[in-house]
Amino acid sequence: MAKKVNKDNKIDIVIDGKKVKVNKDTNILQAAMDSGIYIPYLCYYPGMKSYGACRMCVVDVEGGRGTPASCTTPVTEGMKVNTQTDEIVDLRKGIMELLLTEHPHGCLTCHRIDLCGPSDICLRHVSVNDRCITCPKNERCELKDTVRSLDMEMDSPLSYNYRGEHVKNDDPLWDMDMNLCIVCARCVRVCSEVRVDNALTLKERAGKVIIGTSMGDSLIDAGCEFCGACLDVCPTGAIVEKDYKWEKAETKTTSVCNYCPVGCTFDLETNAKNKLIRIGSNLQSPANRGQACFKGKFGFDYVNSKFRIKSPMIRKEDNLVETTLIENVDAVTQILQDINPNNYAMIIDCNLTNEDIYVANKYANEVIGTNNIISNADVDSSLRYKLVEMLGYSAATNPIEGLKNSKSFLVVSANATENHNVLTLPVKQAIDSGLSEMVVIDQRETELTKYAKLWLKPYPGTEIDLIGGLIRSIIDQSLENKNYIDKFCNNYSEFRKSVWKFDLQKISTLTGVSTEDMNEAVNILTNGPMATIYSNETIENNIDSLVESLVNLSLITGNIGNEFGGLFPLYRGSNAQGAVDLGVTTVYNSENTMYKNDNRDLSFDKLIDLIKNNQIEVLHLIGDFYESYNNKLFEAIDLVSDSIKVISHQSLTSEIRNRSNSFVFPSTSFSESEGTKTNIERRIQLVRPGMIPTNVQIQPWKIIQMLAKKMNKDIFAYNNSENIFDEIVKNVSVYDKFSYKLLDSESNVTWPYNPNNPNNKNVLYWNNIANTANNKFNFSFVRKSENISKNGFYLATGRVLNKSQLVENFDLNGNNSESEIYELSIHPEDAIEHNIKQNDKLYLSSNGEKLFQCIVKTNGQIKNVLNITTLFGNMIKNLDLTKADLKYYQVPELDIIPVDVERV
Amino acid sequence: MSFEALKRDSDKRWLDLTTGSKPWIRVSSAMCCGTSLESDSIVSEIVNYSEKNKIPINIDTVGCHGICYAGPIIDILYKGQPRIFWGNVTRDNVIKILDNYIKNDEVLTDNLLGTLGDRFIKGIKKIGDLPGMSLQNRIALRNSGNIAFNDIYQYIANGGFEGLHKAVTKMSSDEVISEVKDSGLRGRGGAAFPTGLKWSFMANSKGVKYILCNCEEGDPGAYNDKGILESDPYTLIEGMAIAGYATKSTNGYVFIRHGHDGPIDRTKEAIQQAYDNGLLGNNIFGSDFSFDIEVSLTGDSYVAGEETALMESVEGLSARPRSRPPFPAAYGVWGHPSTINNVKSLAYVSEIIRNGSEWFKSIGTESSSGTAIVCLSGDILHPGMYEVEMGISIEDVVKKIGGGIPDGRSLKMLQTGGPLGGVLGPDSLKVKIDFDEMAKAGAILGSGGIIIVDDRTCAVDLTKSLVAFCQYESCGKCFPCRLGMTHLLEIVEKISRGKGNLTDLDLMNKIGRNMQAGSLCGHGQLGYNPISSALKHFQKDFESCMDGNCPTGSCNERQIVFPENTRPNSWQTIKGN
Repeated sequence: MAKKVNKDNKIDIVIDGKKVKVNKDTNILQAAMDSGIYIPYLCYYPGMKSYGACRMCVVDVEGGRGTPASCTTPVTEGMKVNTQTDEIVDLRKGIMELLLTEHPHGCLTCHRIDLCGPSDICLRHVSVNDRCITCPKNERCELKDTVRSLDMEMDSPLSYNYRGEHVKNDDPLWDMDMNLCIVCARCVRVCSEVRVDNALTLKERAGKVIIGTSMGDSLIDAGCEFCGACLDVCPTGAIVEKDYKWEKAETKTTSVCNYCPVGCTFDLETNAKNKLIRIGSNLQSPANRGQACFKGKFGFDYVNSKFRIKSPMIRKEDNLVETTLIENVDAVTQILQDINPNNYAMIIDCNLTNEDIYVANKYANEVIGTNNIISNADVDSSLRYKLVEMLGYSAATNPIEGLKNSKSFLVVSANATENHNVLTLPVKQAIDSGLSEMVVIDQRETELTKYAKLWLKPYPGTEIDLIGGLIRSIIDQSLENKNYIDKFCNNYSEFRKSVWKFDLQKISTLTGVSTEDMNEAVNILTNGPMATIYSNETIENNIDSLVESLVNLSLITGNIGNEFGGLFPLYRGSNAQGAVDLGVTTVYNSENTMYKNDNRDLSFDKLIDLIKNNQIEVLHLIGDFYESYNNKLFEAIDLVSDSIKVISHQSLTSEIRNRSNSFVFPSTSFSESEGTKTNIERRIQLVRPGMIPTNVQIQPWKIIQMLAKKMNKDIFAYNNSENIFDEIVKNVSVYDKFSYKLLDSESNVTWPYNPNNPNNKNVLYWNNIANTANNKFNFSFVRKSENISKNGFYLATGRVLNKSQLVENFDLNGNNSESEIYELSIHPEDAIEHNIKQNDKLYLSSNGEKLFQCIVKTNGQIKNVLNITTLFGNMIKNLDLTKADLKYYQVPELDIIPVDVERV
Repeated sequence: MSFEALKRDSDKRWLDLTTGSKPWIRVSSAMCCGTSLESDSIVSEIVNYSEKNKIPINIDTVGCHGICYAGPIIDILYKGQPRIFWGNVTRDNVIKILDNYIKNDEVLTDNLLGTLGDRFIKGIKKIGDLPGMSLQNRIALRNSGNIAFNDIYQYIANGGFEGLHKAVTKMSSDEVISEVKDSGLRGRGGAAFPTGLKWSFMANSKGVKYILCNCEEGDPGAYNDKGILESDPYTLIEGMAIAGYATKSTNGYVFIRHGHDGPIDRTKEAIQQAYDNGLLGNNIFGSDFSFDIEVSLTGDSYVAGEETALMESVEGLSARPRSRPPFPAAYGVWGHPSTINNVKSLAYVSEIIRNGSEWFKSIGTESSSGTAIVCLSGDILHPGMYEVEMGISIEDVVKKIGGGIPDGRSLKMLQTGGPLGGVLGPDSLKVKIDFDEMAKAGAILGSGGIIIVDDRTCAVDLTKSLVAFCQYESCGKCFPCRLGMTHLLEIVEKISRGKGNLTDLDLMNKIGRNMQAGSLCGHGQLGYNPISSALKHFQKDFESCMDGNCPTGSCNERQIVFPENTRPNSWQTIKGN
């Protein structure tokens, strides 16, 4: 191949006489945009396939035929494009003139538009529904910008025709006003192309064509996941959020989401009153490419809550009373000065920035001198221990983007579409393209099971045995990656021996999964790079061994260290990776972390036990602990609230915390904080304050620095968070070579960062080099599950997007009642055993507490497991109606719990 | 069974039918004869008669003879006599005809059309002398009316599958393509693109490839695709298989508009028979060429006939055109290379391969070889489907074949090539049926439909109907077509109500030009044609309508009910008052 390869994949084209270098595989419109040349467009959207409907981007290509749309015309070397000839400009205006006959446009072509106020008398006698000023998208309307750029004439002989459609506001979270729709189909395309949901569609045709749901269902029934992607792409006011619908953004700040470790970055939009009004899409965001989920997109209003703490508080005579910051610092110092370090404990919320975590940890270590430090990220440490042991680092191995090219996916006990939504987008896209297949191991019906080629439903707790069975099947069929194992792995022969105890027939009896299914799963999973996504959403039964099996499975198929494979542990907490990296959990990443906990056995749960046993006198709580899995901590504190002193840094009032708090420092919320967070891809991202905190809302590290100074420790002298980060970089080896400057300029880097080897594609263990003693991956013995008693029932609740998979919930009397009656699936053999018949009515109860009523269908597929599947949209509707500020942090999880059944 | 054995078997069956002792009765049964004129009940009447009288007969339902004015048609071949045809047969008179002929050898002269065959009966004219029959040269329609549409052996006995056999066993793919190229065959769907050249784009790519046959045929006044599929679906299957062999394709889809049960059922049955006889499927004729054909249906959509919209429709999406590039030959159905041919184009292929390109080239004109299948409808004496050689003038078609305008009226307008093709005046009668000649005259041959309109109709009235069709059938994807067609319809409607003024003509012109330059597919690009061509020939009609004086009064008397609500919710049904 002597052909000269163009290294940078760039070619030269000429746009309007200007010679520009553009990407080879792009279209004219994108090339012009990249070169800073504006061509008007309405239906094109960067990152989505060209559609070619609005014809606003027509151009003249010299030597070409007609006036092609630039969005659908690929660039070719030496192409000469004219974007502003008279003919082209007239054509655009002509089409826009047609378009404006179905969109209210009285203001769009009016010369007074910039002068006109909301209650001015309109000189043009334009009716109210024809005025921009009455549109929620006023001043952020793409159509308006396009009309202005075209310099439209004021009067057109064509008459404007108001569609007279009712505004659809019955659905939660956003309104749809189809009178403003220009049918560019961006929303329809983002819903199918990017989100793979197909909730929206083009209805009818010709002049009647309009956006809607198929069969006119509500969004709840149409399979909408309420991600809000359609809002982001809509160029007009046709789809707008309900909350802060009429607000205009005063400032936009790029920051990181506070919900899950995917670490979506987006624009925080605030209004003139310093309220966070909107989460705007940011197409440059490396982890999420402008996408978000229902939590991140709509669950931000708590930062504007009236329950924000407005002043430092101190407990006096059983009441929390307002105080000043100085007094509070003094009072806290008084208590901490002479504390026995063993009676002090600090718990750090893993939603805080790395800087907060670092300084808090350093304070507890250096100033107090205690080992009782833990972050609540530790609740998911079981997902990580074996990663360190077998591979070297405690982290997901691959970037999210790589999932798009994975050939197969193994998802184990993870409701990823809800808890780590954006991570599943490339998975759904890959499966939708028909090139990838997925195996899901789960007892619950989740959205991902719909995409699965094979859905395996082992008895709860036997997932370990099932994975062991898969490994055995791989070895039996000689499908292991021998070359990879020889070159890069330790202990294979011992491991292989340990596999013999897995007899497929016995595994099949134990798990309830047939051997054929296991063999088919193996065939799917060995068909190219396999990405493993796993979580601990099953009954607590040795998650460690499960992870061990999964790592073994990834190693035997050669999927660690390659571009499109990898392991994705789905832990919780938006900066849980940072907490691990900084050494405040029982699992940690850098042996040279300076301020690590010497008492490695002290887990989050053990600390709770210490609290319960009254061994802690002063408890220092850093952060808000929004998520519901923190509840057990506060319940424990509540038990001993008389004898414990709690120093709390929090931004929102919480009833349960108020009962035990002794000192409260108002803290910044995520939208006011500054610093960095590390996401699941090990990407360190800058958190920037979108809102300006009040004088007393102070980020935890600043208060802690004040406390330290008060205690005469001068080891703290940080002027800003950048100082802290620079110190982190010095002490935490995996953060080596990072700096704010680097993060600001180059967003697509992950730790470990090596400027000399930028081609590692952000893959951990690139070139299959492990972070272990001899740089080889360690196989580990495969274990079996411990004895599982198959007495009693487990309830596995699922949740899906689409109604078609659900039989409608109905009520026992046939009336519309407030309480839903769920349809419960039970295994036919169980039904016979317990003398339960089809359509029987049962009560479910757990620990003596009645849960709900349900009606029986004997179509269950797992012995001793009862299944209920609910509709995601209904949950969103209920959430939307809930008043609680933190409702999106407390989305009901799909637990698998032991239950008793009782006849009605 | 080898092809030779199949052929021998078929010939024997054919010989039994044509020279056997039983009378062979063929009853025409295509769209109009079959459904509208109840030829099915004629068949059952004949079967009853034969059972009752214990007279053994062979009876077949055959396709379309083309002379729609005479349908339903039955013919009898018996006792070495020529085929004798009777037209406009009904349930009531069919038994009388049969009884007299079979029992008494008496040829009833009522409804008698003529004879066909080497011999003739004194006093009875030949069917070739009938109006409409004499100027025809039937190639694609060679079997229409002659063979049963559901008997593959009759097709094989008449030279069927010889072309495919020759191509697969004696020719290379490239030779087939160059044979088709040499024949000068041009696409009959409307664009007149050389078929061989189109195939050659596909030849080089590897893997799964598709041959798509377009029988969407939504043009009002065109029914020749459906006619072929109802009369002789085998010729299409053979043509597709040859196209598949030439382009090294693996699969074929026949794409038929949903609801056209005749063509759909008959094509499906024919495909099944071809599979049963090893003429489709794996290793055809023992070669390594394998080809599958399936029938795919659209929804009710005119635009589904556009090639990229058709591909979307095959994929199960709503029929909205894709933007090009990429072109179908590179990125077609499910991303695989695809070629789309019209039914008529493929129907010629088997005969071209069987008889050679020279033979085909000798028919028709230099630039448009072969024949054209024209469908005459409207104000004409003999509406029907006629296959004529290229180069015949429109006048000959209208007057000699169609029998001219009835009731002493005069010709006012001709509408060719579907609603997007536009309107011609009487001065275009001299134009020859030929792709290039017609393009020069500002019309398109298109699908072959010719609607003849006499002087009772106002040009505005006709234009309104055409624009209403185009508006209703816009897919609604690209802005210029979706919005432009709606506005054009509103303006034409306004003019026909006598409310228009001269500035409306400029406005229409402006919208039309923008649609032409800006639209995504041919529907929008040609959407102004009905108006522009009508204005070119009949601007006077528009001007008088604007003054409220419709020249013929047809704008006032006819109440065209527009598709309700051309715009969402608002636009009320307009009555032509």
